Amino acid sequence: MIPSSSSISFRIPAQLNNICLLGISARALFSSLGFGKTDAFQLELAVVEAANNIVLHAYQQEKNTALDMEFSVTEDRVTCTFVDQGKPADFLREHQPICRCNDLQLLAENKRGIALIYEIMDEVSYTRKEEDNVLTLVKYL
Amino acid sequence: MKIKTEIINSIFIVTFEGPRLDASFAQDFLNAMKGFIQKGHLDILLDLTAVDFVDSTGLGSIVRCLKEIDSRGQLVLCGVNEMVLSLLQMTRLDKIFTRAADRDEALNSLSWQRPKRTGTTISAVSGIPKEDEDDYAILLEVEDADVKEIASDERRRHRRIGHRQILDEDLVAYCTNTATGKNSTAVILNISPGGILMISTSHHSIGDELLIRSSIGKNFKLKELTVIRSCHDGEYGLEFMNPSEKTSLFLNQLTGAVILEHNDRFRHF
Repeated sequence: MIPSSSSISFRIPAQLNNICLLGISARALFSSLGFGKTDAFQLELAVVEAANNIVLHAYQQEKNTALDMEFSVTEDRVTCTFVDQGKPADFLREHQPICRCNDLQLLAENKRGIALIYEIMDEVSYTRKEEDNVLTLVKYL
Repeated sequence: MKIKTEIINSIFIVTFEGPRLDASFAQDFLNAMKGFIQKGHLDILLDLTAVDFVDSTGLGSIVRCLKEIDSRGQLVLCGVNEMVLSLLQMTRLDKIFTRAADRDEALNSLSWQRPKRTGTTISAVSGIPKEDEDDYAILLEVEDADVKEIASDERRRHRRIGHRQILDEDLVAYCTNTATGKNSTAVILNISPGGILMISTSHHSIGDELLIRSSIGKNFKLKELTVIRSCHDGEYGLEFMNPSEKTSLFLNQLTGAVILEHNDRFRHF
């Protein structure tokens, strides 16, 4: 069990093959907080989608870059804060609802990540602080 | 992350051997799948039993595979756990993907869909000597050196007969591409109630639909709609899409066909 008012910080090389480290940690953390198997999976998904977007859009898969992430737990919420030094990339602006289309050929192949983050998390926000992009995802307990 | 491929009853099976289909693997997976589809593997079972995490990029790669196959074949997912299912539901893709509980159910589904879609019928019976069983041969062979074939019951459904066993001269086929209207000629190398293998200097692609006209002997005029299932060095494997009773009967008598039981085993008379 993660005690309240505690936090865990990660710094990983900002590459797609390292994002699983954040995802697996997120799932374990949310499970320890009492979230069920499927909820914990979905919360991992939101964390992974956020990190994917940072690597792909802010850093554009540039090498020798780092992604910081902090989980902080309070009495009523878990806050996941992502900080990167990539180009300003408020990918939240691209938020589109999930397509309800049943026609295969009209179905988008990508662009579901942001919609999933909004679907899963309770609060989502992006700010630019000096040279940093700060993305915050909140899940209420 | 690795995938394993195998063929069972002509169904191409792709099994994930790791737990994550995410953005770090999605492009490699998609490239591999495109290669399989281009080689003519259009009925695909995707076994996700080992997978416990899929992200939107991984999911997008499966959507892309489905689009590549389109209506030419079928993609069935099996071994989808409750967590991955929740992702399909959130993205409404649970309405798009065909799912089966396990591999057996998926194979059954694909095996039954396949003859329904191609309209292949196997009905006539004649005596086939037991020792000829090994001659029940591959009509539509897919070149696939990197894929281990485990079983080939489906490919044994039809006994093929070489053109030289029918006529001394070349068996010429007149082909019309139903999409472009382009006409071409080809020489039939072998034929069975399931389709034909022909050689042509004209370029065709897997999935092209060709109207084939030919004469076999003096009395039988063949006119059937086919779809190209394989091509290699100018040789094309064509499958009859919905052969007429007359064609089926003639070819069954010509080749000495067998009845297949539900479990795909041969029954000899």
